[in-house]
Amino acid sequence: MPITRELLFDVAVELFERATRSVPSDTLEALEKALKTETNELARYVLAMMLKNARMASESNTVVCQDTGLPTFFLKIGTDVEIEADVKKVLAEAVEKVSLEFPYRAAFVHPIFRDSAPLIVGGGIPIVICDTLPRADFIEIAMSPQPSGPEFWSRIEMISPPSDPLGAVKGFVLETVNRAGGAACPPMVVGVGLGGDMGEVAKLAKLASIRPINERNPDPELASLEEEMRALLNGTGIGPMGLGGDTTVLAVNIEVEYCMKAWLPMAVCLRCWTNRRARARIYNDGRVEHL
Amino acid sequence: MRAIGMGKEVRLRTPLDESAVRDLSIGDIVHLDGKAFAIAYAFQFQRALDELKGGKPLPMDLEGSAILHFPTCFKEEGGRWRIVYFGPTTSSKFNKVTPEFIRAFKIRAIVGKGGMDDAVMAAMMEVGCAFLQAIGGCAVIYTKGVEEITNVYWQERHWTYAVVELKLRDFGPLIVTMDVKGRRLGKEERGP
Repeated sequence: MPITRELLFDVAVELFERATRSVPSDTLEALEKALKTETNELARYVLAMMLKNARMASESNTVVCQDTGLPTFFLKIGTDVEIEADVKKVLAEAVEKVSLEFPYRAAFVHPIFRDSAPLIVGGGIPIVICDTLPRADFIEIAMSPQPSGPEFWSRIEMISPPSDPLGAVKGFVLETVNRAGGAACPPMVVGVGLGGDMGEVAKLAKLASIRPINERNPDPELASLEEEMRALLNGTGIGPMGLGGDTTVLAVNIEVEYCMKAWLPMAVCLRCWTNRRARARIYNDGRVEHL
Repeated sequence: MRAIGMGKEVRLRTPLDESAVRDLSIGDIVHLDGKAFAIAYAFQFQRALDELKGGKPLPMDLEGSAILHFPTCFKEEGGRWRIVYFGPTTSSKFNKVTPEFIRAFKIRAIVGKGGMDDAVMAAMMEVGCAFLQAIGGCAVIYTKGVEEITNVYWQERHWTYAVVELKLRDFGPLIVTMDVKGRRLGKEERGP
């Protein structure tokens, strides 16, 4: 039995609402943990307010942040799945419905001709990124709004392979976080992409940025690099909202693919403390599993 | 970066008294009551300055007020405005226009995110104005501090760019990160 347009629409609506009106449980846990270990009094006060705001948003079903972000869907489409709908169109309709009903502020303009009325969908919005899953009979949808501040301070760079690639990567990530300072609303999740080509490295950083906080890279060397980078970035003293403290990042997630001999592509995608995202699977038989 | 503990907690009413603003120190926690304006686009600050210079009377009274760098979502219902949500955006986007704006309208408090540059600091010290940092991503807490929207101005381009006049009640917490003595908490930032 194929997945119907109605089912896809309802799940997309629910995901967009959840992603803009709550902070994911892994992120709340990481913030709670930071509140216990943070040594700076003002930083603890800021973290406590963040947790309070997240709780209030969930309880009252209202937006966590005034910046509801650029809506982005990450799809994994099982090769055995059957969908009776124009997927991208249905996702846009779901975003439009939620945005108009609440309402959310229209925020999207032409990059050059900026004077016209801002849009809520259209002109390429929402962004939809697709991948396939062999033999799976479901579609997995991760919805994540990309907020203005952290996204603005995210970076991509292509360099010649240096004599010390690891040192170059660490330096690039550290510099990116230092440049962002409080403007990206720390404590952040830092998604790092390494390798691929220009498009792939950006996608790797994006995918790294939506990975669960406590899930390390399966490669033990990269997993220990993630831990090492986390400690390094927390040593900057930037702290929650850039006001000082030990809690600058909640996690560093690294994704790696091979690249040409002549390159070292690097990308860093920053996520603010709200780390908003929601994920679900829809199966051919109509079952919906929220992850 | 210097670690600083929390200062005193104060509740202030707008229009703010200059001496009350001069008493604020970095690290103090402020809650506001009374009238304030939410302005979140540089061209709206510029418009106010241009109209003042052109001798045109402004539709709103900005003198001595508190300015919120808060993009605002509101809805018109039965001839009244209802706030849906709002929260802070990055203040350094308004660095260029702000020193003149502070001087022209004797602004006493700027509420935003991430601090502003040295030219803004100089105008703040001269006039008696503090920068109050709101916590990013806390739209629910700050929206709760709005009693009502009393007026909406300059919606010609689109309602999302409007200047919004508000009545605040126990609006906060706001952390003093630039005080009238020229001291800063955290580093200055640029961009959205």
